[in-house]
Amino acid sequence: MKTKNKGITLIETIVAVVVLASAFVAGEYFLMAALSANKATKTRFVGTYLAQECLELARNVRDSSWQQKLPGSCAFVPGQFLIMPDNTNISSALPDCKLDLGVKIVPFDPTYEIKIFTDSIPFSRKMIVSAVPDGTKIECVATGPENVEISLTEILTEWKK
Amino acid sequence: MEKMKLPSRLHIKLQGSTLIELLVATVIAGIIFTSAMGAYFVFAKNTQKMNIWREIQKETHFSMIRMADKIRSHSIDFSEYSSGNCVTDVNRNLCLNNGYFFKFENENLKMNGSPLFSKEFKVERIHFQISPNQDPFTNITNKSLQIQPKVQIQMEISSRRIPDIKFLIRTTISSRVYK
Repeated sequence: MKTKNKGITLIETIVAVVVLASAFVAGEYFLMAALSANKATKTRFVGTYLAQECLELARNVRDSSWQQKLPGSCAFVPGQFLIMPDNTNISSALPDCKLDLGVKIVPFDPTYEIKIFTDSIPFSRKMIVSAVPDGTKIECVATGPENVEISLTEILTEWKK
Repeated sequence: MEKMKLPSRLHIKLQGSTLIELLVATVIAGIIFTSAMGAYFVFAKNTQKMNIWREIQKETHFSMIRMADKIRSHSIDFSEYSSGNCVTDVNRNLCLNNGYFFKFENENLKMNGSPLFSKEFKVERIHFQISPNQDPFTNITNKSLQIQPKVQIQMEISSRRIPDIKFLIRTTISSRVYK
């Protein structure tokens, strides 16, 4: 009887080890999933701020055009563009009007590297301009790794002359 | 006689195996304990990392909202850039009208002197790019100078506990004050 009992104890130990190990593996698996979800949230966070920057720049161009008594249609023509602050090394100015509004708008280039300080980040950003009644629709799309795509839209109304 | 022998043999056998069993049990317990400890440390480290990621995003978002709110509703105070708070460190400080200023100080970002990040995080770098670099509304006759002011913000935040957690963020805020 006693010998039989000892044998069961070893099997029990093995079972216990297996159960414990699988519990740890499962726990770790869920944690890793949560961690990668957290990283995806980080990518979306950075992308949202980039898309927001694009909208702010478009708004800034609209406001500067108003300050300089230029028509809004001069700044925004329908199409897909790259919009960047003046301090980036893009050479061309606005497509039609040769005016300095402190923002550079050039045809969309997916290879353009967006930098934070001197580090390139794996994002590309597109400004899609389309005409709507009484204004211009600006859609900013920031595309990043892991199929992250942030799209923000704003309608900039044309001011009354 | 036979009845006496059987229990005594069993007894001896039991005594002999106890030491080996003890050793085996110790070894197994040791293995389980070691692997459990290892697993636990990985688990704890990942939990901590996750919490830090969440916190760093929360605090960065909070500071961005504070700056965006102030930049939108109070225009840039260009006089501070020619003589005032913002002369010494143009790209690390931001001065706005109505007495609002943001300063990079002691590895933190401060708004009117009070820190925007908790002590858990370190502001590695910050850069404010003000455009245009002079007041666009002083010379009303020169229309080409009249550009709506905007500020581009670039920041790098890291965790003090786990230094490889770093967060780079960039955005631009356009002023909503019209003249």
